[in-house]
Amino acid sequence: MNSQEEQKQSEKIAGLEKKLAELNIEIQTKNRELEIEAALEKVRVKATAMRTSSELAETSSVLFQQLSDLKINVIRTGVGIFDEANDAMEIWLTTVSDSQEVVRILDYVNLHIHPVYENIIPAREKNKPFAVTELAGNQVKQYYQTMSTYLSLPKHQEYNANEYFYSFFFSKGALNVITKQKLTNEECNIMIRFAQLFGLIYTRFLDLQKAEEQANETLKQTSLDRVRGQIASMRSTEDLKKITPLLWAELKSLKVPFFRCGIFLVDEVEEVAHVYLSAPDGHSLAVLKLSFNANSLTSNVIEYWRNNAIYREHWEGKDFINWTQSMYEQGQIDDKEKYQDAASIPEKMDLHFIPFSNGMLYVSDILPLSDEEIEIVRSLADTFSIAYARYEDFIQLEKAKQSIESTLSELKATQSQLIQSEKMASLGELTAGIAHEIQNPLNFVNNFSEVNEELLNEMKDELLKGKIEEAIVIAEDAIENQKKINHHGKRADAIVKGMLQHSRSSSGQKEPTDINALATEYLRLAYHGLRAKDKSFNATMKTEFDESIPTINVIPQDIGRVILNLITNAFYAVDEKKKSANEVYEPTVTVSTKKINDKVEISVTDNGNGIPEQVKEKIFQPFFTTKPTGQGTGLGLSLSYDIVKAHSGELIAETMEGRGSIFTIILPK
Amino acid sequence: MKILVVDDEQDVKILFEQRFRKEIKNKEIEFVFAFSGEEALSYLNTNSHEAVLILSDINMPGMSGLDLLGQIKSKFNAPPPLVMMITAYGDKENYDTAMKLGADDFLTKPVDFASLKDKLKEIK
Repeated sequence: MNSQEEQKQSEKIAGLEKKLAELNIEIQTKNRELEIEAALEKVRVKATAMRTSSELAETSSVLFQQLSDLKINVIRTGVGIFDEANDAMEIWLTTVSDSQEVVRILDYVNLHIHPVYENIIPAREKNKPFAVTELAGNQVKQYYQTMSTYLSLPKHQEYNANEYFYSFFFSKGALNVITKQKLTNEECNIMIRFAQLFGLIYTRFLDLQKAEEQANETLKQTSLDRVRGQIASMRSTEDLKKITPLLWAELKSLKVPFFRCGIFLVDEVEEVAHVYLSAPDGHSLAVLKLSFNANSLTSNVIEYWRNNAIYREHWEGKDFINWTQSMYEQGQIDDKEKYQDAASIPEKMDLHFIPFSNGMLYVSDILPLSDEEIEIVRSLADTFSIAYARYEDFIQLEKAKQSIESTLSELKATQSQLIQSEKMASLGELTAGIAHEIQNPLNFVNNFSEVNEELLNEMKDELLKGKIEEAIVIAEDAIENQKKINHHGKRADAIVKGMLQHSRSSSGQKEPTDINALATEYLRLAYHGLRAKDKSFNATMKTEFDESIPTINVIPQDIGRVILNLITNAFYAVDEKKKSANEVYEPTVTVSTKKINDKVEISVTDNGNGIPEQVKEKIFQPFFTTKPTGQGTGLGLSLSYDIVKAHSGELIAETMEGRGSIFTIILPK
Repeated sequence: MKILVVDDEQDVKILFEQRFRKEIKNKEIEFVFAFSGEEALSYLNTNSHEAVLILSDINMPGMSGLDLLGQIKSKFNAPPPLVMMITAYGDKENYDTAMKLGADDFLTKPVDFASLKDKLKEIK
């Protein structure tokens, strides 16, 4: 090999080596790039898998884990979200609670508080991808000493010589990293990419949070709707008892944590709170009656309720024991274990009283409720106000019902008195007629017995004379007279009995009754009654009886009263017409009976003035009368209607103005 | 002497016949009976001048005794028969109306037959 060849050879090798080196670098770069891509991909996958906003913390921690995998050495990391309006930043850190990872706002810092933060402002304004502030020597110590009052910072035994505060921006915030050494350009580029990725994650987080808020709101509204639905179905005061367990069930479904609950109903009249304590499942723990100043808790609750404010109290286990003991001593509870409702005394509890119109909803849990949770209870309390208002409405309603019922029974009593007085009034109308009716048979009784006395004396004379034939003739007359005496005696008796029947309260016993005889009896009574009252009164009475009518089962004195009432009305109607009639007018009242299939009709027809159309609708109404004040009770037709209805019959009025009226009683056989 | 008795009570006929059986037997008095005002009028229409005295009840269905009295006094006046009204209601209103219509006497039930007989003797 000549030197020329050697030279070429070595140049070639050198070229190859160079190329190899270049390739190596390229591979390294590509490898690094792959590493970075893989890291970003892991974060992206995690972000895509985010289903709830609470997973943000987990996603953030994956992100920061990738930084360390990529060997970017950082002292601390965090996420800052800008509060643009106030030149401030919320600083989030990841913490892990017992159940799940949660994101907590750890700090809220004004950007002007320190150059480390203040430098962020111009960098963002100039659209720079990041801001960095270097602190050196004493500056580091000063930073931690100054900021420790504002921020949650680790305690230091000694301080780093240098610290670099980086903020890599995304649209709404920044990934904050603190390093001991300045980051290389490459590292900065990686961080920029991570920040961009976090921007996407954060957007997703906000979307999820918004969706969750909407879902929660929907859940809350659904829950409130359920309570409202239950309230709407309230039909009595008893139903309030169904509402309260529902209230607690809904609180649980809305994930408000509590282990005791209750309702304080404020009674301002008696100055007591009625307390209904229960467990979350709705089972009652105790019912207390606490006067307003029974203890500080009650007086505080009342005071806050008056101000429509939420009252909170924190209890240690001993407070619970003391309270239970005092309730026990006051006789408010008789079983301390039942009241405790758990195997052990709670170590601590936070009591919350949320006002509604008539009292406080009470919930307590081992920790204070968050504002959101309180808000949910408050919504339920507001809804409960409606329920309680309804409950009070029902109480009012029930009171009103009771008062109406007592009024009704008073009315019924009054009505039965009125019915009695209507009876007595019609009896009064009849008395004169009845007197006349009795007078006639009594006259016959007296006259015939006087005649008989004479006849018997004559008979004695004839017998003394031995004229037996004559005596027998006289005796036969006397016997006939005796029959008449007996007949008229019975007639008077029947009238008195009828009168008694009329004035007596109805026996309510149906009995087979001869309708024609009943109608005749009352027609005569009515006629003579009116005649007795008004001497000038007269009318033609006609009867058209269907003799084939069998006896039918009715309460005779009741149906008699109906017939009497209809006839009296008919006589009144014809008399009114007679008083005003100029032409020749023959007042006529006809009582007719008729058998139609399985029914019996009793009609009372008059040729009076008829009933005007506007009056016709009202004639069966109680207290409606066309008679001058004091002359009619207005109960006659109304009672008649009721009596006929009670016999499963009908009372029908037909009328033609100027021509007269027909009232028809239709009774089943 | 023929007397027309008007009353809606059928037994009045037997009663009068018993009460006046001696007078009837001796043909001193003859009785005719009508059981309504209408019947009385139709009797009077066909047998005018026969009845010297009419004894009428006031309280009757249909035409009342007072209506009858009015008609008799206005229609039958040659010579007008005597009309005595009998009523259970011996009140002033009925009495005044009867007298205004020209009743010759006014008796209240129960009829005192002894005094009625005395009155009839005077008429004879």
